[in-house]
Amino acid sequence: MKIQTFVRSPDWLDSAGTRIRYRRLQPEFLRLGCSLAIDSLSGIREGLKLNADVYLFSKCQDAGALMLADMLREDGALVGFDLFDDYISGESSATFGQRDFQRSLRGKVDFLLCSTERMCAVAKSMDPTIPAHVLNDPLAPVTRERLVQLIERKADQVRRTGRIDVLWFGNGNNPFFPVGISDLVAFGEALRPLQGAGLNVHLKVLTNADALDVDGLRRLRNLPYTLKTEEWSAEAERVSLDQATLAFLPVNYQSFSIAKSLNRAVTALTHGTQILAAGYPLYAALDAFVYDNAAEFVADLQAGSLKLRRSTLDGLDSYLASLADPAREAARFVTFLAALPIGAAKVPVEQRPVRAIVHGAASTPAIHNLGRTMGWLSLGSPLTRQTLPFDAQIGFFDGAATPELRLMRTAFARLTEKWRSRVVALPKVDYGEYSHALALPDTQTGRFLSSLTPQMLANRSGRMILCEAVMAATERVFGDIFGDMLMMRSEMEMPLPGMARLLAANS
Amino acid sequence: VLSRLVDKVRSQFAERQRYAARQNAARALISQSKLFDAQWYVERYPDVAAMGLDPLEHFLRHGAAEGRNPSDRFDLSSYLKRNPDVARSGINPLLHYLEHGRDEGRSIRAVSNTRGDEDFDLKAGPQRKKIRAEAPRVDPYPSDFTSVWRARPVAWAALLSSLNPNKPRPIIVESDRNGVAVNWLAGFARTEQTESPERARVHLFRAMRRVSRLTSGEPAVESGDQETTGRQNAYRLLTAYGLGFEAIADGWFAGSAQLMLRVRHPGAAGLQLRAFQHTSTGDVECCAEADIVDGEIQLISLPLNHELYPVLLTWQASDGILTASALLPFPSLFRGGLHHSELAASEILSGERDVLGDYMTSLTLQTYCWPKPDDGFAIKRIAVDLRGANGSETIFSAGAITALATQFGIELEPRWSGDEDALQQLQGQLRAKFRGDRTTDATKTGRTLILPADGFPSLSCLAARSGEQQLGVSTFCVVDTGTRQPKALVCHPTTSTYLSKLHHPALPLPYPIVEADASAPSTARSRHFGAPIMIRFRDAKVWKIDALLPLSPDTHTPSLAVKRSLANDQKPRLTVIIDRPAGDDQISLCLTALAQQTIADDLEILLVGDENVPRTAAEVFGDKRIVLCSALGASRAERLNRAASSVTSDYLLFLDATVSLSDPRTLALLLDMASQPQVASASCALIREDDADGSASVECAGYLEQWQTDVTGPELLVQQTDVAQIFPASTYSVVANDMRLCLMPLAVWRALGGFNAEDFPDSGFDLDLGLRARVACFEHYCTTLTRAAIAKRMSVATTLDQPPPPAVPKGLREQLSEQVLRIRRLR
Repeated sequence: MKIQTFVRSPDWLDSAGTRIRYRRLQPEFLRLGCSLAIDSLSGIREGLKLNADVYLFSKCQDAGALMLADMLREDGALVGFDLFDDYISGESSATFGQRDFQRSLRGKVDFLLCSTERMCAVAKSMDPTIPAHVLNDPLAPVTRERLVQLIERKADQVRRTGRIDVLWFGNGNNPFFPVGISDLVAFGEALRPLQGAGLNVHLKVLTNADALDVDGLRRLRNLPYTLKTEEWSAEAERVSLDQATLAFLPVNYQSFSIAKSLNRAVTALTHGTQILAAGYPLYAALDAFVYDNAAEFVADLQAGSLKLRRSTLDGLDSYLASLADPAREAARFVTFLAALPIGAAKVPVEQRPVRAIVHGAASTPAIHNLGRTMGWLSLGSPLTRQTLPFDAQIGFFDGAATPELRLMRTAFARLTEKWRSRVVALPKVDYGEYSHALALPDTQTGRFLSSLTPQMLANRSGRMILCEAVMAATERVFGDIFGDMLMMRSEMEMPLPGMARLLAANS
Repeated sequence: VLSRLVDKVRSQFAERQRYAARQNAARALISQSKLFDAQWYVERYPDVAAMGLDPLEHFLRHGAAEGRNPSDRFDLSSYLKRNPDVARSGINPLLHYLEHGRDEGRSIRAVSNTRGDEDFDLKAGPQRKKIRAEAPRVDPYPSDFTSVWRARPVAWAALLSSLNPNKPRPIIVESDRNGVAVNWLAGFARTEQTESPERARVHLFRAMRRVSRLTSGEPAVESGDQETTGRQNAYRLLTAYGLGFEAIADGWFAGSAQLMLRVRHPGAAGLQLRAFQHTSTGDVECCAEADIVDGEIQLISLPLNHELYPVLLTWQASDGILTASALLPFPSLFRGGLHHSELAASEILSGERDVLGDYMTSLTLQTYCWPKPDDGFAIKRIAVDLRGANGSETIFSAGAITALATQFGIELEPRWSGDEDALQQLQGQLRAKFRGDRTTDATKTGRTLILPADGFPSLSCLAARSGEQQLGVSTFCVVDTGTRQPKALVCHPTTSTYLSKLHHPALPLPYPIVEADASAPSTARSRHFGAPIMIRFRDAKVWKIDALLPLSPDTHTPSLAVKRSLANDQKPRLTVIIDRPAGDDQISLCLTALAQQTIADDLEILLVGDENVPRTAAEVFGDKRIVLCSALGASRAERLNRAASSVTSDYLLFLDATVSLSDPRTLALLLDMASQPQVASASCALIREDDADGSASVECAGYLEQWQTDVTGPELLVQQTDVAQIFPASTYSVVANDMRLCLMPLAVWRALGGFNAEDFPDSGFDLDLGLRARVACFEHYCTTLTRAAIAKRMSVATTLDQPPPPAVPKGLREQLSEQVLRIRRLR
């Protein structure tokens, strides 16, 4: 079995998710006679062959990925999306874009991959018909000798010097939810018993640089401990975990936080670092090795019976084997995939539709490029603000007050016979410019589009009011001139994707 | 006794108010004059920086009298030499120049660069020189008028090091667990035969440790006589000796558990300063010790157990004699503390400044010295509404929960009806048990405060014993979570059940709610605008919503009751009156948005002042539902009066063509609001969004009244307040609504007689109409739960009645203003 994982761009090839979730599994898949490739979607444009049996989309939440997924299923492959974090719980948070995308997966994927049981339940609540599998984050290999050395050195150092190095590491912020540094500060008082016991608490915050902005630093200043901040990197995390005696892992109670994986705790334990958790008991499964009370930690430290010590490592091994063993996770995943019906959505070649992406107010060049590579039409609408060489676009050209329909040479060839004769060639065409123009049809749809002005769409409020009507009219016109097509909208400006549903609910 | 105390306090308040007003005026005048340069001042006089005082404050209080120049642009001594009458008067020379001198043509001189005042010498001597030589470079402490407050631990750290404080160490110095009190201050023991201020504060401090009695097995509630005696004794000691605040020069939090204090030196050198604090278990700990070396003012850093427990400072001589003491019963009132915004609000309400000591005294009297009348006024329990909670709010902190119970006798309970796992866990958090879970302070009767998850009870709320305390049951402070910086004082007097439903389902409750105890006497009094009942910690992330669409597309709209309010279950008919169509673009968009409304089928459009029906309008609504009302030549008010008089629908919607109802649910919600009894109008926030940078600003969200306190006393102004910052997605009562988007019942419109076209023909008419409706006992509701976009800014001059209509007497307007939402800025 060949498994191809896609991430959204080359930057994501080195992300924590890719590193922890996929790279650690690669050797295990090989042992099972399978292969796991990890590439960015842009790799397709550079010649990546699409010949896998299973495709897994990781953090790819746009129309390009959705269209590609649909196309790959049409070709008989199994397609799944890895959901990672819970951006989809509830009905009223600001993440309705993510919820909207999740809904759009209905009927377009064979399976969903989740990192926790809770996330799996959340996914099921959105659509119980899609099979979902829990792939626990696998742990990195660790040697027993080194672990023992680390554990004993750290405990000894605290007893000798009275100084305790506490580490908080991870993502310090999130565009939608108060997490990271906000949690650290809110639950920071959980470390106070360490001070009360006379320990000198040195707290190190290892996080992304943009979380250490004015607001983040102001919050951190409220913590009554000696504080050091450092920008996160894989190497800095490794070094810091090797140095820290205690990892502080506070978790708040919102849906997003409680669906997180146990990864941070597992990573800390494999570096011989004791764990103090606070807030929501996310790490309850590791209860035997995680403190939820600093006073208990102090007592154990003084008694020489810390939860993570030489004599408890056997227990840790078996715990981790049940929770995060890469071999076990790989085998479970392969078994899950093998049970799925292969080629359920396969379509004979002659019946496969022409595909087109219709770009809304905010789309990306990456989606356009993917479409061009895959042979889909890339079509611009009057809402589109990007200037890209679309195959065709209805838009306001050269400062005109009314919209026109213009085409590239490539699209001219795909026009239906009826419309080809009505096309007017544009003079002096350079590469990448539209070569032909076509009058908008004298239908109600065409008249509606002709009545639009740039001012009506200049503001978001105008786009909110008109987006559904404009996109529907655009699709009708393109459907008319290019013939039957499978069109998918690419819209990343919020809340435009949701407006259609809001208006549809009214009607 | 109480009435004497009240008279005394009132008299002091009045005097302080006058003094504070003078000081405020002086500060404002000087800070705006550019003749005072804070940076220059501290650079020139580093001893000011070393003392850590606000430079402007220093100049006003001491600097001018000491002959210090306020900036290099004003030579003070030169001014006095040239104007001996000023020198004789003793007036601050700079203030004299600004108030009188410049109008009288008196000249000023810049400070000479060659002479300067390098030889300035307040009290010449080696010590002063040393200070100047060693004073670290710190930024000037910002004036209240030039910048907002911020804690500056970095700058202070340099100063702190010179004071040689011992390393803080937790020492349990006393425990009452075995019922035997231990004399824990040697100095106190030696002077115990003689009552003194120092001893009095130690007594008071010990009296505050009620929880310790409980752990020793004593009854939770003292018997009547014991309690009365204890309270009388505490009252006598406090009124006779005070808290000893004269020893505190300044204080602020550098972090939530690090109290920085500048304390005055009480006498000879060689003293030892100790700070003690209560703990949650009833013990007393020494949280810091410092050897006082020298100097008039010392900076000390106190690592506190929790900012809600009292702190005692003692100064002991080497022979153990207790020479001074100071008691801080409520440390959280200091800047950067949990309750500092409450103090800021108190300053606004009383018109005073620097009232920390008085405010603490007042709270101490209520909490520890006053009897507890069973008038049902006190807050008996606090229910935390878990909507929008994520567990990182202050109210869920274990330390805070314990302190509330042990120090104030208040237990928390969850108020929530959901099935989310995580919130069930949070419920358990609130109900956490601890030793001594009841204290003598628990009241037998009282009310329940329903607190939003991001709220925290104010000290006034916790201390208030009777209605005399002027606790504002709907008043609260808004504070920035990250910086703890006070932002606003909010009073929302209309807290009806209906309005409470109209808010965002994922955000915390928009305001606190006080529920009366069924067993409480009916005489329990409530005030709306008084001392705040809670502090709200506003986290921008939690309150994050889309500026134009607060309710996400997949959120159910709050249940609408409008259909039930009409007879025969008929749908209400609504006529939209659009004045002066602003061109085809705007009117097309406006009409398209109307056509997409959930109640579009029930709309009729009346276009005023235009001979032609725009092409798109006809296409959107069809000819039958669009009526033209030609009123060329008439004033705006007349045009709309004429249009409205022809309407036969149930409701009128006045709509400007520049307003787009981008949320299809807006009109249904407004109709729902307008269909409530005694409602004159309903509107929503008007948002102007800049597409270039994505910023959005609130053009109007109903008109609110704003009190402005200055030397001449409170003035009633009407302003378009950015209320959406405080109430991002909820509904409230306003003075009037903006007629660019205003839905009114036709019957109300007719009863009020329409717009006053005679007095306000072309300019604004909305405020006049709004106030007339209010005089007739109607409400105006506005909501930020849904919002409309407005294409262009309309100047206040052309929209508001200027000056406000004289038809409503000032006294009556002030009364009316107490019935609507009020927001006052805190700093």
